[in-house]
Amino acid sequence: MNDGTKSPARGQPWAVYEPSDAEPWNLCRVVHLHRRAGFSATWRELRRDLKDGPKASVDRVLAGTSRADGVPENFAEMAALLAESARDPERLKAWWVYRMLFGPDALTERLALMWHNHFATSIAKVREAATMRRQNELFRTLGRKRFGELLHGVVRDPALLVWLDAPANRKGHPNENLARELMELFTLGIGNYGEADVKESARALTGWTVADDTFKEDPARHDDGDKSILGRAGRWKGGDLVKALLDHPATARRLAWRLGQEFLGEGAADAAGMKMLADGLRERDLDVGWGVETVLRSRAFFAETNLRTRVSGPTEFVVGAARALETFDAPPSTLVLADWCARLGQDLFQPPNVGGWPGGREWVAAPTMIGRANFAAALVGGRLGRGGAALDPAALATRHGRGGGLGDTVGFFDELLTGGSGSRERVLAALGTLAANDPATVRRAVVLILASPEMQLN
Amino acid sequence: MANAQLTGALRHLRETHALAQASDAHLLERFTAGREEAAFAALVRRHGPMVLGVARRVLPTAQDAEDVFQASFLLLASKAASIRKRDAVGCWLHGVAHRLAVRTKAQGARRRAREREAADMRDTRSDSGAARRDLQAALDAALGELPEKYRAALVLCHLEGKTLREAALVLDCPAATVGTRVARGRKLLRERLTSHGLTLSSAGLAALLMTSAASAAAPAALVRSAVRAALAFAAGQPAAALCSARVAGLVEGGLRAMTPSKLKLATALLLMAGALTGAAAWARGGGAAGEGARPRAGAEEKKKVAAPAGAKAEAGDAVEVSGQVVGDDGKPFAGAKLFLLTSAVKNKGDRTEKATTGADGRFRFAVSAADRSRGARVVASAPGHGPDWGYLRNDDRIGEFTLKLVKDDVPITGLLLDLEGRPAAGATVAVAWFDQVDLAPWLADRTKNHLTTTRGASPLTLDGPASVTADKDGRFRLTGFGRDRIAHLFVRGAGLADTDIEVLTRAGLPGGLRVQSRAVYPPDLVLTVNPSKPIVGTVRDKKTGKPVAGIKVVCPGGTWGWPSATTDAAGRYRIEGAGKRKDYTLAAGGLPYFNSTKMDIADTAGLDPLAVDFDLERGVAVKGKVTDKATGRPVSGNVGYVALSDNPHLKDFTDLGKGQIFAVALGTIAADGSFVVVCPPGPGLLAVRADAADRYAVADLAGTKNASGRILHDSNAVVRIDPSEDDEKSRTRDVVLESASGVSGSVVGPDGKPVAGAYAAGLHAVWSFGRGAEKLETASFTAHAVGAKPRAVVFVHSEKKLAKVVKAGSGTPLDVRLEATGSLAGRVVGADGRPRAGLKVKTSYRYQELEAASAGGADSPGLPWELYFDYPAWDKILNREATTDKDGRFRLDGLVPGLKYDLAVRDGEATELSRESLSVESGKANDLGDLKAKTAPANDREE
Repeated sequence: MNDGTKSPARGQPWAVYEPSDAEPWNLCRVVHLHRRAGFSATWRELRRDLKDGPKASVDRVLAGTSRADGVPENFAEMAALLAESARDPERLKAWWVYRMLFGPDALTERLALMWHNHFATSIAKVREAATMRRQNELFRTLGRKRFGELLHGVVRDPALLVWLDAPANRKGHPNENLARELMELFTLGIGNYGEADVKESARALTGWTVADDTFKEDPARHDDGDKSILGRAGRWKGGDLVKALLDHPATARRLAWRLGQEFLGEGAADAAGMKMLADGLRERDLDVGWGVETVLRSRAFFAETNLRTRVSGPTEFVVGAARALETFDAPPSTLVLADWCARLGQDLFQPPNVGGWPGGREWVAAPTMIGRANFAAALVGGRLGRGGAALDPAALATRHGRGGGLGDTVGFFDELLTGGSGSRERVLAALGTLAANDPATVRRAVVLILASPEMQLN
Repeated sequence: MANAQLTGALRHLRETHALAQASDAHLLERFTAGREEAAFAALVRRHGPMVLGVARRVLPTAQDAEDVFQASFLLLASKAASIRKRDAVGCWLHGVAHRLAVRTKAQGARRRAREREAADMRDTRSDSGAARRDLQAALDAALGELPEKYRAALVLCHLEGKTLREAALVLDCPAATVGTRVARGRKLLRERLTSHGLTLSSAGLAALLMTSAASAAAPAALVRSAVRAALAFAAGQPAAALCSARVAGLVEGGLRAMTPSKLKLATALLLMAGALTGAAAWARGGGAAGEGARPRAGAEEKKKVAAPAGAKAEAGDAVEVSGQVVGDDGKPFAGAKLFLLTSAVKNKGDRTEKATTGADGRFRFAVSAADRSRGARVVASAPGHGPDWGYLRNDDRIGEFTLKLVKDDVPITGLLLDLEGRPAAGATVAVAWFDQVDLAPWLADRTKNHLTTTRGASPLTLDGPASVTADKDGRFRLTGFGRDRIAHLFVRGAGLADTDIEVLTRAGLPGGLRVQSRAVYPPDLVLTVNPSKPIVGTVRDKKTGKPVAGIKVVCPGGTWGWPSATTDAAGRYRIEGAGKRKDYTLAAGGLPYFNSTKMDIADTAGLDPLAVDFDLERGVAVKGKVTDKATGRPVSGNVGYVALSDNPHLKDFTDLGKGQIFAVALGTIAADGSFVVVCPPGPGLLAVRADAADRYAVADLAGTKNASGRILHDSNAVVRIDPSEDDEKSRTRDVVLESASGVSGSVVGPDGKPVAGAYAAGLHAVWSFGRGAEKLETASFTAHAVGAKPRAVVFVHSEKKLAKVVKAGSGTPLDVRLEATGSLAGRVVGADGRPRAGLKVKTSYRYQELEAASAGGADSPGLPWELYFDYPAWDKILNREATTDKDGRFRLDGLVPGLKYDLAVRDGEATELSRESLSVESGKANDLGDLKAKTAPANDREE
């Protein structure tokens, strides 16, 4: 998005990526795909995709069939059980982590996380775990539909309405929270509307409230008078406002920006490219699914300049590490993983404010980077789950036909976790020349890789 | 540059200092005007401890209290501009904090009530501290009702520990005025407390206020977050974005049903806000300080009121129990077995079969007095059926039992999984207890009606196993409850947080059943269990630093049975089963050490063990045996400790004065009569109370000059001890209780005919918490434990306007002939001699002599102790109120000859005049003539 960088994708960034000598389909790109569009992948999944090529690989990601390992047969049943029994914030977070770690469809969970950030709502105010969960399900079911469907759903979602004080917004006593965030964060973005538009929009939204935990439009509280919004006068209602915002070109631009923020690294697409993506979305009635597919198949996405240029978010990092290391038989506690996400800065269902997590370089700070290393040590040490036996990554390498010597073992994990960033040499140097290829040393090596700078970028 | 920095730092220091000195009003102004953080922080630091104290007294968990703390200051921030009395911020905050705390508590109250009920079932004694905390909470409530000027003075001087002079500066009035307000406020407070059902001597009130005072500063982190949140909140951010869900909820007022609290009260909640005042350290039922008020024991006592004369069964006799067992269809059930369960039955093997029903379903068997005193329950059971049960009252009203067996065709078949879906193989599922339940109203309308349980029973009632282990797939099966019952199960397993669940044995109900905020599981349940966070540490002797073995460490909250562990030879412990939480509370204790409680221990990452060490203060374990003098047999009851104020060692025990959760309950007398308590070395008192307190003489209080407290008056024996570590003899004290017989009597009217329904005070030699005013259902009564020295008994029948004060002595039966009550009359005139209409005239019977005697540890000066300790109950019966008519006249009827009354005439809050020590004669009006008020009638004053 930075104009100054040189990108081979310039010109036709959204054309479908085709492997070339300069940009071959290699392990690095397979790892890249799964770290960006999911929560990392297992060695078997990586090898399969490397063999099958980009089209089949992205097809599977989009179809939610990419995960070959660790998805329990009774996943849907178990997820439903955990959802139903999630009555406090901690259990709710654990439920979502369960979905991310064990579910078949990583991309859908990533998109749910993206929308959670876009429509950042916190259980701190909403209080009810079940209400928050219903909103989260909305992100899952509508997350790849036309943006209009999602927006119409979310602005009538009880959690969001409570969060933005809609019940307090009534005729004669407007509360501008919902109107403001609707324009500033959910659709247009700053600079595309005026203060007067917010005031008038708040009036249009009067009467939108929550009763018995469901959306209700209360005509008695609605301000039925004339309003002028975005230069158009009329007796605006809430629904009219949402429609008008969806039609506004700035909304497509914001949507393109959001997709870029989620899937592209710094400087992967320039302003012209982003405009093309926005135009494409606008032409397709803001079809998010089209946008996601376009980005994930694109030259821009697989361009050299887009590799390892985005700071991995805490949840991607935490869940991804657990997945890549195949901790399925004795998994870490999902409740504890959620606690670690929070400790690393991303407390699920509890974003810092309505703007969500700023993400990007904001994730990088001394305490959180030390925190990631501590997490890695606890994960590899088996201290995150019931039973508490240390992982045996040496055996994992052997199982996958690697591990012939420490160099090979470390190389395996470098490839598995980072796509082969070159941290192998540094890790070997850190382990010392006398280090043996034993389980304890391999555990140390894996912790070092997980804590390496390369690992924090995807 | 460096110099500029230094100057800046110095200025900052000076300003901080200045802020600490500034008045509340000044700080509030600086905050409202400039959103100045430091000003608000100074307010939080100044009043935070008090606010936290108020919240903690009302709320059982630290988290709840901190939520209230946060919410209180958020409200202060948002209302800063609109607070009228800006120099009484403490007073304002006290009111807000108390209201918020009460609201938070109300939410959990229903749930807790049920938990307590169940606790009652399994453990009838060993509670005491909750009462004291309740007392302090009542104090806060009463404070809230006082006029602001008194409240402000009391909050400043007592809860915030200011001197009169400091308080005077804050309130901007002379110190003498503050002193007057404090005194008057205390008097009002005591009156309010009595109207809440709590009577306190002025010494007791002072002690209570002292223990209610904030002793420590609020945690720094809490202060910081409160300040930060408050600033942002005042700047318009929604509360939700700034603080926890709970706090936001409190702030926004709409406290809806929330997720079930993670902390439940446990089986025997021994939360004691201990008190070590200058005068006395109290203990009963616990290992250290805490007043021995026992609501539960009191309630128990109520049930055991001796049968009125003429009853069929006197305590001590065996009684015959009879009844019928019927089946689901209501028809007689043949072949049902009947058992008797008592507190002595600990295992199913101890149950003795008493009878088997015949073809008519009937049964009949004898129950000994000993069993009746041990909470006997009659249980009917038969194969393939859920049992039914009934309690045997320990009085004459035994009646006839009808017990209904229900089909046991709904087994509980559960699946236990962790949050990752793996089976919790090997986890144990134990029946804590189970309930009968009335499903009909709830099934009819689940939105309106609560699911209410009718009767609970222990697992000993079950024929089948009361505990099973989950198999390798995490499955378990339990039977024997019968249809439509709620089983309370306790799940525990390696790496899992201890979990309580309720299961309804009814098939075919839709999923997602809820009772209030709790989930009720269907019989074919799948339970997902949270992981456990181990807690480890070492317990050492504070003085020697050496590890101590055999200390029990508990982690309260979460479940019925608190996760706990005992230290090994190296003083180490490891607790399993505590769920991962935001923060933890831990308590450690064991002979001969004083209990120590640590709160607000922050969680650490992951499931790595949380390390918490304890340094315990070593006391002296005093042991002994309590026996009946006549029979030599052990006596059940409990033993409390009261320190004497001249004990020089008290100052060495810092854990004594702190709020405590007791890891080990001490002081209960075992079946063989033995007891053990932990106390400081040096002079103190043991106060022994028999469960059957009425059968024994009251404690002789001679020689208890340096102690006070109600515990002394609800005891059968108070003995002096002076234990020391070096002298084993000094650490042993046997107590022999002398039985005392009662006399029976009857109440007749002036016409000689029996009168039922009179209230009587003084029938019991030993006072009991919670007994209140006792009403005689018939014309007969028993005055218990009368000795050689006659004791006053007051009878009063309000409706009939009859009363009599008599002396009850040993030997002869007592016939009480009631007499007409007397009256007080008079006319109130203003300073100008004109009549004052519409003034309130109220009597207060005099209890001051009792109060003085109690404070001095002396015997009753000829009035029943109830009149002092149960003032609120007797106030309603003995005192009268009237309003002066247009001529300023009043007349108060129904006053008891033989009692003395004080009279107060009030105009709203202001006392216009008072008279002391007035008495009346039977059937006559004592005319006081014209009583001159301080002020003239209102219409004149307006000029």
